[in-house]
Amino acid sequence: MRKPVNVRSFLNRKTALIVGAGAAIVALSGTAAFAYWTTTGSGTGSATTATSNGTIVLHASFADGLTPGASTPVSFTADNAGSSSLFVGTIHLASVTADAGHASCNVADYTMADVTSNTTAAAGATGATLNGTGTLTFADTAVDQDSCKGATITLHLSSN
Amino acid sequence: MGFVRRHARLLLSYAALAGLAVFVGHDAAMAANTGNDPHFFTVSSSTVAGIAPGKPLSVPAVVSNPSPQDMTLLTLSATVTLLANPPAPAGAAPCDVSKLAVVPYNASAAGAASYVVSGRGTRTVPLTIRLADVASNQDGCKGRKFTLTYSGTAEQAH
Repeated sequence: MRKPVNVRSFLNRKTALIVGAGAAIVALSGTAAFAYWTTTGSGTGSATTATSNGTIVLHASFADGLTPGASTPVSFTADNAGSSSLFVGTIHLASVTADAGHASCNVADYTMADVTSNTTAAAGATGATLNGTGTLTFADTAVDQDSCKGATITLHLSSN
Repeated sequence: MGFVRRHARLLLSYAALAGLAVFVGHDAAMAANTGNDPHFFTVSSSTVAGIAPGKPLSVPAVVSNPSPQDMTLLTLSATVTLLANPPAPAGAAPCDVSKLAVVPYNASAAGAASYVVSGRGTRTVPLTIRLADVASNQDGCKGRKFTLTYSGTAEQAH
């Protein structure tokens, strides 16, 4: 004789079992999701670049013994103490000075046309050779130029 | 045992239902977590000025943790966007923004420092920004402004 099943009681037990089990598993799942979390973040900031980064030091060299009416080639080197490579486009003779013992030398008689170099002087470079050779000319004028005899001439250069 | 045998099909159905409930429950939990994450942290930094080719600068990125629990930073990176204003110097070639980058932080990298941000606290993470010194003309990058957009990941501190 099969014992009759109390359907209501059976369903109640099963429902409770399933709901309980499900809740337990969901609860476990929820615990797993939040007990050890990872997350993301975001935000913004800003930065600006400099308008320049240091300057370059130009050096010119030419042979001794320049006389009125003569010219001599001028070579160039550069020092770049900065952290950025710097570009030397055109070298320009900004001014000329004579040593103190030859203060009356007319330095306007010394000229040099602009020199196109287009050379990059690497960051930290010392004595980097630059492209381009200038021509320094000592004009032969109608006035006495003896005051320039033996003078040490310094060329003051600029570049862009 | 007799009960199980008699109601095997029914129990299997319930088990499948329970599994589905767990799956849906977990999915819902994850969706809630990603959609409205209460632990989402923020990053900010003040303007870093004076960047020049070959001249790396420090970017103090401030990480803010809104959670009451401590968190450990896992990654932090930033993308760089060039702003139209101020424009490039007249006649300059366009600025190659790909040459400006923030070195990302990754906690799993060899020798990387560990950054634990206390609950509801902040922590400064020193990142580095660097404009590569390249052989081409970079005048287009002179005097420009950039936006840094940060993103990162973190986990609850153990």
